[in-house]
Amino acid sequence: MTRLLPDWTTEKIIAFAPDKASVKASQKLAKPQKWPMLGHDTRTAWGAFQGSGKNPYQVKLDLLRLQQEETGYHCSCPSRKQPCKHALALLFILVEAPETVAQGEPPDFVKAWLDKVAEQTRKREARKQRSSQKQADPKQQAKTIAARQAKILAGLTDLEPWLLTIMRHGLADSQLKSHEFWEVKAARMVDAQAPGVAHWLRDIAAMPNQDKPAWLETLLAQLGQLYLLIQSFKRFDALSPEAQADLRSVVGWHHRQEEVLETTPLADQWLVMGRQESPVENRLRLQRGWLRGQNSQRDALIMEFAFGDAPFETRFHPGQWLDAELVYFPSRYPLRAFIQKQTPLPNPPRMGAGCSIQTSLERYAEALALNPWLRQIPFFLEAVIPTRLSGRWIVREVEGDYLPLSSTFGQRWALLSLGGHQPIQLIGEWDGQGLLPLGVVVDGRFVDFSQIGAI
Amino acid sequence: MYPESWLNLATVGIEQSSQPHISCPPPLQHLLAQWPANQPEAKLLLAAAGFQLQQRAGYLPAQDKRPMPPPAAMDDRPICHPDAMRYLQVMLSGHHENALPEWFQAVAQQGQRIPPEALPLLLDTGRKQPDLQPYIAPLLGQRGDWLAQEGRSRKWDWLRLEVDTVWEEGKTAERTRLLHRLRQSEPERARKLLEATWAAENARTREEFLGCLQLNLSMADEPFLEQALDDRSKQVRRTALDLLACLPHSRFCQRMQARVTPLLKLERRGVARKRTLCVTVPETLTDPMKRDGIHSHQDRSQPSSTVETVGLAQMLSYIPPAIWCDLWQLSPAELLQAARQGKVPFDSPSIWGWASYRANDLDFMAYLLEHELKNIDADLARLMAATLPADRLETVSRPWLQPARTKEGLKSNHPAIPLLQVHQQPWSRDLTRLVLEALNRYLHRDNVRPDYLLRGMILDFAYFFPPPMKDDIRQTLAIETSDKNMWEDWVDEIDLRLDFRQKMLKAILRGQD
Repeated sequence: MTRLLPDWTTEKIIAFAPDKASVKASQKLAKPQKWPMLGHDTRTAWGAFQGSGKNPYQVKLDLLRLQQEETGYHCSCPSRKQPCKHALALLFILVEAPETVAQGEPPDFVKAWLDKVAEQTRKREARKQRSSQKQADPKQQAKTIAARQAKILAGLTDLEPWLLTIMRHGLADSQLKSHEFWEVKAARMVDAQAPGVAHWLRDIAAMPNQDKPAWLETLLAQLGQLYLLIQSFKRFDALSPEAQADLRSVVGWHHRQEEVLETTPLADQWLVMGRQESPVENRLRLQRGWLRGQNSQRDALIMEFAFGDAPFETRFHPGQWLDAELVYFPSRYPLRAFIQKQTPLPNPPRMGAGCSIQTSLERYAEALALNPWLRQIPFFLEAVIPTRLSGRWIVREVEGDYLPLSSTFGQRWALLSLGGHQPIQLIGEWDGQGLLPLGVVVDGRFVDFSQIGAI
Repeated sequence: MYPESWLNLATVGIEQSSQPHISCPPPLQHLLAQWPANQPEAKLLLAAAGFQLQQRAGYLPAQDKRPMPPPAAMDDRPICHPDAMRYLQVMLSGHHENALPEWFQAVAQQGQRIPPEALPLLLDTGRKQPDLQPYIAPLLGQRGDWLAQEGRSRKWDWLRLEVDTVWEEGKTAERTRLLHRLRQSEPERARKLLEATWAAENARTREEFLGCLQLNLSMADEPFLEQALDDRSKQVRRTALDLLACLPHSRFCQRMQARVTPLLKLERRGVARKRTLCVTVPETLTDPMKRDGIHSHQDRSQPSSTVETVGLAQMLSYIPPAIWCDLWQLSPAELLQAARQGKVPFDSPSIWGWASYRANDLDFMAYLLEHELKNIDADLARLMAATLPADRLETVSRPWLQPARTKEGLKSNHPAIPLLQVHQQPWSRDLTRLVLEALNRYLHRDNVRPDYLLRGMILDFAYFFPPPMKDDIRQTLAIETSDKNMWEDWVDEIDLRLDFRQKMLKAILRGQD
């Protein structure tokens, strides 16, 4: 028989599961004889499982969406882990014992689910449409923008005398080490609709090693930048739209996708260079995916948020290629983008060549000159040797140029081992101080550091 | 990053400074000059921001002037499949850990190696779990070797030990491991190492180190061991004589033989002229005997025993049983029969069990396990069984699992259990089937009570059942008892283990494509 999910294997399900405990639990349930009902048609598969609840759990899979790596599953159980063990178990059965799942007419609960999903999609589209129509009304749009700009400006103007007072009293002041000192102002910035600045202040409060000299330097640099931001925002109206956009990103006043739909998308074959996931706050998680276009040689950063255990909308597999159209958000140095259209790439091109440390640094300087608020850009280094220099971890070129590794990089030994004191291709984020490796290419094999962490 | 004067100014605050002047390089100085002079706080902040930007944008790479480091040697074995690595990850995170050795062995058997990015993890695993070291080491390859050298600070040097340093400076556990490993490759060198520092070691470490000589023991070690019989510590003396007993040509064994031979006689007695072992109990235990560790107390479990009979039994347990078989042209069976006939004042299966174990006499041990298992203490049986190669162990185990001997089914106190527990290699289909059928008979008895001990044992065994037998197992163990739920859950668990191993082995084979 033809396989219902041709691209799925046992190992892929393991990788798909939220954690290892779920894998173990679901494998226990993946016995067809334990399922009073199992079935499929061309689009969906379903099953009923008697769990601890009164009624059997109804598990549904949308094969079409799963095949495209979207979140096409649902189960009526109350588990907070997604996908739950029942959905995973059904996946295991479909992949490992497809013959036990009979073809048939989907029961009502499957139809009801499909209808509900379709309804939700429709509503979302309608919302998008409505909001773009709303945006289309230039008067309304200008009014909204002006109101928010004023609110943020008021908030930032509030910060100015506070910053100057800090400098007058000196950074040795002990109240700078208390959390509340920063939190009060962070809360004020949330009210002023500048969440980016609130986050910034909380980061400052959370800076480690408050007794070390490096803390003082970083604090001074952060306060200086904050002050520069205030001065820049005061001149908001005098800036070009792109420079305005960059300032908006810093204060957390992000452009929405529907605001930039009229921008011409950039079609290219994109290499997924790396993926990073980090907690933001209140169970919110951020995924950052770095792409590089094969023909355009442009970099792009795809940022996505997800709440709790929910999966991200896009699953990035570093080392993979996407045939996609990207829309960049406005910036003096456009990096942040979203994927508008994406099709699988059957014949991926050869891994493009990277460049030298020198060239990459020049690229970074150009980027900063255009957008001084930029923190990091991706480096694709052609041939560097991971090694150590008097106790510090570096990557060096044969000629001797080197960059220090970021102190937050946790897989130094894996990197050293991959290199074996020989030049390798390395992709990493550079922030002007340290290089954070995301992946390397060794003997034609792409190694993704976000995966090694899991070992 | 920042000039010292700025940091001082920032620390004490503008208020405290008499001359809040900020000097900086030309382009920044120019920008700052445009700012009102009466706002030194703002100037300091802007200078800090500008300077930091300038530093980041103008970052110049430093130069590593050293010559290029010599590259690590290349490995030409293929890297194992990413799917196989996933199973390794699952096990290292605490699931199905018992299958780890099987994973390592299977990957090594396929002639594959570990991807370099996973080497730090495996070197760490080897450091934390020394019992896995022999499995991990063959997979690390030249890159692993190189990395272990680079990572000495992480104690990855377990892979290639710096013998002298570890011996002279290491902790006891490290030194024990060193001795153990060295005994595998260079037994002579290991003993010499030990001899060199012997006088300076305390009693406990002497005992522990001496025990390491068990591996690759030879007559070359005999003089050293003989000397150790005069050690101050009783435990050291005991270890030494246990080792000497394994060397039939040692002076110790010769002395024992000389003492015991005159005391044993084979005669033909009775109408049937049956071969009978006649024993004369020594009148007293002499001092030289006591030096050789023979000064036992009365065995309370056997009221008829005396200090002298226990001493005789001890001496016998240090003499290879083959000596008697050769002397009287007897098979092991005949020797035991003759002992029974003569009603010898010692527990002959156990005494000859110890004797054959010490002499590493595989034939004798196999005979005892196959025919006298019920008369041998479970701990001794386990020791003996563990020295047999896997196929011989299966041969001696099988008769005990036949239906006639497992009418009541397999219980946790069945005599064959110790044999099965040490059989830690993949089991044959035959043996697996016998065990499952015996188990089934147990489960189908009336009023069967949950045997949790047995449950745990079978789950451990499941790591050695042949994975392709998965379906047979489910069929054989079709449970129809009232305790259905408990047993069903358990069969699921067995199933899961086999399933995991089967998929794991398949994933490893995928690396060959």
